[in-house]
Amino acid sequence: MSFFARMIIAGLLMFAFNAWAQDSPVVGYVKVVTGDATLAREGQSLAVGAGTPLHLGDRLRTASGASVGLTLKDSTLLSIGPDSELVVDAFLFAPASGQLALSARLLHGTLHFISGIIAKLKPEAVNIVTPTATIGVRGTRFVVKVSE
Amino acid sequence: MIAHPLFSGSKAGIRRKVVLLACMLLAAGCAPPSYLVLLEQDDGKTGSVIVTHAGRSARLDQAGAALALNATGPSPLTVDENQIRTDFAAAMQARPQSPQTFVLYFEGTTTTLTTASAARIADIRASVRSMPAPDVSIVGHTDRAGDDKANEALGLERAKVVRNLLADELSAAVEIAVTSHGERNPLVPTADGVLEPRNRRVEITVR
Repeated sequence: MSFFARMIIAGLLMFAFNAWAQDSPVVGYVKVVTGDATLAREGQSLAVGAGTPLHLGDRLRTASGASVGLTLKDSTLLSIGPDSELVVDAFLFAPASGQLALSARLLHGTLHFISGIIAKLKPEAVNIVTPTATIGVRGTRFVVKVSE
Repeated sequence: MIAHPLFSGSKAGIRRKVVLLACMLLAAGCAPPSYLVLLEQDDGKTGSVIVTHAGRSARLDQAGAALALNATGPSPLTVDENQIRTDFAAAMQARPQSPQTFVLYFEGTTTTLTTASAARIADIRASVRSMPAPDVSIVGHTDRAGDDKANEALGLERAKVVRNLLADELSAAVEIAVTSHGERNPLVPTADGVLEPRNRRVEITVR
């Protein structure tokens, strides 16, 4: 394969990849930030502030002394404390067509969770995952801590 | 040499046991590295969680109830309130404001708000202003009088009327979704063709 052909293919792949990243839906917005928090999306690290959109698959990380609060599109409230890492892996909120799902993962740190409309309409469609637990949510509020 | 079970085993095992012993002596109880506590909701009710791991599962439905999240599966736990406060104060303080929803009603088949609903606009404006990075959805609805297509359009017109009334506040919004459910999503189910004032509405969610 010629150098140019390779470049064209690489360019096309990058284009497709960008299109995919753009299409990854917004699941909610950052509302509260204290200290240093970043969002890792496809190898890039972005600073987080009030109004920053969270896309599916984004890794939200807080430094020591930092915290972040998010409101998802279904009114679920997620907030994490210092040295925490959270990812929303699945989010479907189309009540009219019955498409409902929420799955988030706390890799380490602390999480305060208040369930939203998805948990009200279809409780079995909501779960929070940690390295040593899968938490099924039946319309509720809880805190969870993960450390080694 | 007599091997007391508390002091036998590997170095890591001994360290764990020393920590355990210290916890027993302190009597306050130490929290495990990973744990979950169920809390009371804003409305005073408590929901439930079902925790599964490594083939084991446990259910909590009482506020203050806790589980240790071990590699071997969840196990019951008693955690002292000060420990919960210490571990979760930052996460709890970062909790976003609760979203608010409003329902406004309309006269007949018009886009004119009822007098009572028009009086609520000020509250909605205040809600949008008080919300950091507001994400607002405005959904128009109609009753089942008239045909589907016309109702779809009427629902959207109603939603737009509300959006226009909130225009100043919405300039600070991070997202505004203005949509219509037409007659497909009635608050009060009726037969087709029925006039129902409670279904002629716009629902506003301020997130």
